[in-house]
Amino acid sequence: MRTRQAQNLSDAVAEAVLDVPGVACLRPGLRGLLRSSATVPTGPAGGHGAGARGAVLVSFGPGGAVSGLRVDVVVRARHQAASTARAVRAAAAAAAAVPPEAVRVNVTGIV
Amino acid sequence: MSARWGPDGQEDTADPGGRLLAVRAAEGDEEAFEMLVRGHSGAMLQLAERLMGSRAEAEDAVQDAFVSAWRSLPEYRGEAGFATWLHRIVTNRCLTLLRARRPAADLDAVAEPAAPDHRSSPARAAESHAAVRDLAQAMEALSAEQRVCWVLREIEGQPYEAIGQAVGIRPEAVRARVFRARRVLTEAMAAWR
Amino acid sequence: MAMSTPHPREAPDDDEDLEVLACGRDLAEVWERAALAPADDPHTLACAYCRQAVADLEHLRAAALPVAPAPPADLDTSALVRRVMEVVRLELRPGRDLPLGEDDEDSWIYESVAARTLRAAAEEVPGVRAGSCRVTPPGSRTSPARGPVGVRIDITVEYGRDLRSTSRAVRDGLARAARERLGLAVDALDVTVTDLHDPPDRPQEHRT
Repeated sequence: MRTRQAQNLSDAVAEAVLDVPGVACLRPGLRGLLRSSATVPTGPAGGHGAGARGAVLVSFGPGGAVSGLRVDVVVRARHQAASTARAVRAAAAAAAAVPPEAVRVNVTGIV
Repeated sequence: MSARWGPDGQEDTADPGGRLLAVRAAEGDEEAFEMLVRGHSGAMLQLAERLMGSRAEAEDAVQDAFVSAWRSLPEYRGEAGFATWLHRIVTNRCLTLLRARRPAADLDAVAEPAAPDHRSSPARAAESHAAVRDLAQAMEALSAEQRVCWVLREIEGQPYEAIGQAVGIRPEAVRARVFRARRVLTEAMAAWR
Repeated sequence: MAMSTPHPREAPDDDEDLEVLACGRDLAEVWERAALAPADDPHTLACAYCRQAVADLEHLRAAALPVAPAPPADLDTSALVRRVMEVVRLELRPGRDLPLGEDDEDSWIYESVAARTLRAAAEEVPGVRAGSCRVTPPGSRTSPARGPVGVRIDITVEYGRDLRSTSRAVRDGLARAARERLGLAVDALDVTVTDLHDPPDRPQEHRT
């Protein structure tokens, strides 16, 4: 069950991650938004809808502090995937106020 | 593209790219799968329409078959050519749909077949048009298995072994169903004459 | 035949199938032979019963001849393709998680995504088409570990090209793509030529 706190945090992380150059969107949305690399995805997966929220998973430790993050991203082909993942980690860690080692990044697509 | 029923070497020679696409699709390359769908949907729709008797049902059957193919591609070992493998999936799906069909409703729903292409005379054209319509109605009296076996034999021109593999019965059983179908249909056509 | 239930599954019933014409010939056989070739034996040509049976079959087959089909509108096929792919995209097969970047980073990439990049790199080599591409991380299937991965790719090469230099070009292209496009560490690279293919502009000899 998502708490308000978790929701706000997911949104903050999603927003920060989407700002990273090299990030196309947060994981393919359920409505088949990705057709070609030329298309700019619009809709839930590009913003803060259900798709984006599903792409950011927040883990809480005892006492309610954030213990970890998992972020699923689709990256742009013109940047090296690993360096985009690194930048995503940094942005997510900053947005959630956690150390970078607590962030797992999955590249789920390249466009 | 018509199905080829010789040894798979023939199919592969005619469509070597298909095998590559199938392997890639089996590994999760959905773009490769889309190319396969594009390449085979015409032939599969034609097969399904001959089996089902209507375009709408054919589209449903082929759509289901392609999704089923995507799901079972990881198990596809390539022992049959991809078109052959797909042909079997479509045939099976049509057989399942035909078995579930309610015949009384379908007699009304039988689509009016297109007029045959007769350049000789309007009278001849009208005569064959009527014959084709009577045949469509007569086919409703066939069981699902008879219908499938007869269409695959008489219209698709498949050998008995291939039909048997597609339907999951022995070639002798296919032969028996084709004979029974011919009997039912010739009787129905004779009644018209 | 009264039909008030869905088509029943039928059991093969051999006794029903033996139908004999008045002349003594087996109807099933008469039809089977007629379906394969025009009659040329004296009995069939002369016998009124056989000729009637064959005529009935011809009449049936004439009606069954596929009518000239309207050329399937590309639009119709496109709708079908689109509907199929909508479902497929809900059931993608991402493959294994592969370790991306340095050993001490927690970044991962789907095998199918890496494979797409690697196949594309292989196909940049002239005359190459890429088939199977598997990437194996260290560790086990269920718990992949960090570290360099192994790449196995199958390719087909155009007739007439030098296989050794083409394979080498593919290996170099893959190594470069893994490093520059992905940041995927690779310690084993296996390129297998599985077939030769015709160049795209030459008509294929075996077409019927």
